[in-house]
Amino acid sequence: MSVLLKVNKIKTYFPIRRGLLQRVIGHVKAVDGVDFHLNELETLGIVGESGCGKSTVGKTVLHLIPPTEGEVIFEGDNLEELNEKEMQQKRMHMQMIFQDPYMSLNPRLTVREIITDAPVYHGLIDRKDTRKLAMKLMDFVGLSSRQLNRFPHEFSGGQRQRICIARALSLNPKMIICDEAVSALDVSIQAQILNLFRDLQQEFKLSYLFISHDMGVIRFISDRVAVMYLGRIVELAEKKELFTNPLHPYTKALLSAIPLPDPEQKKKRQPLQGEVPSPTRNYPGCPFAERCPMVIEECSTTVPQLTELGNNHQVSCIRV
Amino acid sequence: MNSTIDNIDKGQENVTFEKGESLSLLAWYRFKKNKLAVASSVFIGLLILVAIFADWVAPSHYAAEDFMSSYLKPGKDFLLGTDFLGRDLLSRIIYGARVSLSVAVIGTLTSFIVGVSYGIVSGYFGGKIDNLMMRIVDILYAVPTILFVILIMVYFRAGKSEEFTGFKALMYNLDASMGGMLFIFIGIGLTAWLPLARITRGETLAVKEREYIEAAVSQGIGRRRILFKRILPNIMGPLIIYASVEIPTMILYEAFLSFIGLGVNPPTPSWGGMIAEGIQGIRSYPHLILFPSLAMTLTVLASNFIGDGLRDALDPKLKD
Repeated sequence: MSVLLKVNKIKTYFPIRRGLLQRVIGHVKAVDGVDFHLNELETLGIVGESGCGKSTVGKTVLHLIPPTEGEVIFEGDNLEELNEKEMQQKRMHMQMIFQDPYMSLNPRLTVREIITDAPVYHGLIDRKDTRKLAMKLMDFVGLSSRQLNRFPHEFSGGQRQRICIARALSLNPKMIICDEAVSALDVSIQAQILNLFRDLQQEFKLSYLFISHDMGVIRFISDRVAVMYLGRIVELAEKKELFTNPLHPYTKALLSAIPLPDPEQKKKRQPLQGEVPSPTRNYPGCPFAERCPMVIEECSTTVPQLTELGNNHQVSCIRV
Repeated sequence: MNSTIDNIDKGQENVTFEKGESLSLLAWYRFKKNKLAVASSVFIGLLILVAIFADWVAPSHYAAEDFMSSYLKPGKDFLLGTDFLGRDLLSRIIYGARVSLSVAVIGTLTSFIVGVSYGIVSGYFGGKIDNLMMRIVDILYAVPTILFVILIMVYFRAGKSEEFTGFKALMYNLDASMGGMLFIFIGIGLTAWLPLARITRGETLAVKEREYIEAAVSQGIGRRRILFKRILPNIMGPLIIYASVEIPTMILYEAFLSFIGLGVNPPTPSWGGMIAEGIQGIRSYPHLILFPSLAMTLTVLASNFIGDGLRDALDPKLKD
């Protein structure tokens, strides 16, 4: 297994500007030093509450938002060092599927144009072959290829997400970033789409960076899981390891919040107090300290580092 | 290498495709249902034909004078009567449509092209460029248009035309060959594009943040293509609505300039100029002011109905 994507200490800050002169008075630290890698043919799940920066991680990896600090190395190339032309070429190998299938399809284009515009633009196929390619990809994602001249508004949510998947596949990518790709769908449709993701992974030899807030979805699709809190990864482990042996108190709280289908089974919950604190603040210690059930004095002064505990299990907590 | 594209199936040639209905097509269906707007379109269409073929349609030339039959009431020989020089009123109204319609068409077209290209660049590139471009618009907004037009006209038209030289002579001759319409176009062109530039910028700012634009960027599609193929079609609706609502304003603006004597050169007829001439004898010969006013009212009313119809068709949310 070789490493496809390597993310080194990326930070993505958004400046907050005020006043007539638009002076910078602070930063929203959406991603604050995130480190991980993605192997070929692997699915890395990123899970966390809303506002923890998981979508920003996805966009930063693709350089849709360039990182404030740190580097993204994809297929051995540092994306920061590529010029515009090289970047356009590189983008073909890393695609994205967005959360809202109603917003991520251009309403003025037919499905055929949506799917085949990029390959034609990059010269992968001839303009006269667009119909064949569109039909083929629509078959792959489970859409009737007879509908290739229809427009996005003529499809349902699940069908639209399939169009998004076909669009992402059209450039024959190595990696697809799925940013809450099933969150906007009904549960029954979610299952279909997740199965489709799995099948396509084999067929197209794909790696996924799967971003979701849904532990159930993450558990189904991922090989490894990263848990994010306030712009940092607090725990990263193999799926099985993480779900059976969570070490970070935040991960434990998330896992205890998964609803069980069995009403008889009583479960000890560890509900978290309060909300995700503001990402604009500076934290002298652990950002999770004020909500943590295991907090001790040291937590508010020592910044925990992500440390390897063996078994490919990394945790960022001084109490573990 | 490109497995998606290499093995496209060859056997799917004889499939019947479902027809898609684009947003523009749906808008056309809505527009067709609006009887008032369709009737107005027919009216304006006929008017345009009449204006183009005025030489064949009009009973006589607009400058053909007959002193023996001045100030005639509407009757058999002169359908709408004659003016103080004995010129046939109907012919003058027909030729006058040329001025009104060309101001409407050319004014709208130039302000649309200039305003939209200016606004889309400003909105898409943003930042300092946007700031600078919009401040220029603000400054031009502050110039009193009428005053400016009057100054231009006084500068270029006052004095003996035989003594003009260089640029002044060129402008004067150009204006004279257009029957005095050049300065009207300049006056309109100076300001009419400003609101369109602002609207375009606003729409561009909104659309460029949409996920389907982000998707196009993440597919490595170039800036120019995104600007013209992805953003422009999606902001066209509101722009067309605004431009069509502006048409009556332009017709009235020309009429106003002609009314105060700054419009087309006599004897070229324009509805505003005819009203100005007719007002001198409003008590004794009301038909001199009635018919040109009627022509203008109908035209303005019809273009308003078309504008409303377009608005309802292109943006169904705005209806009522």
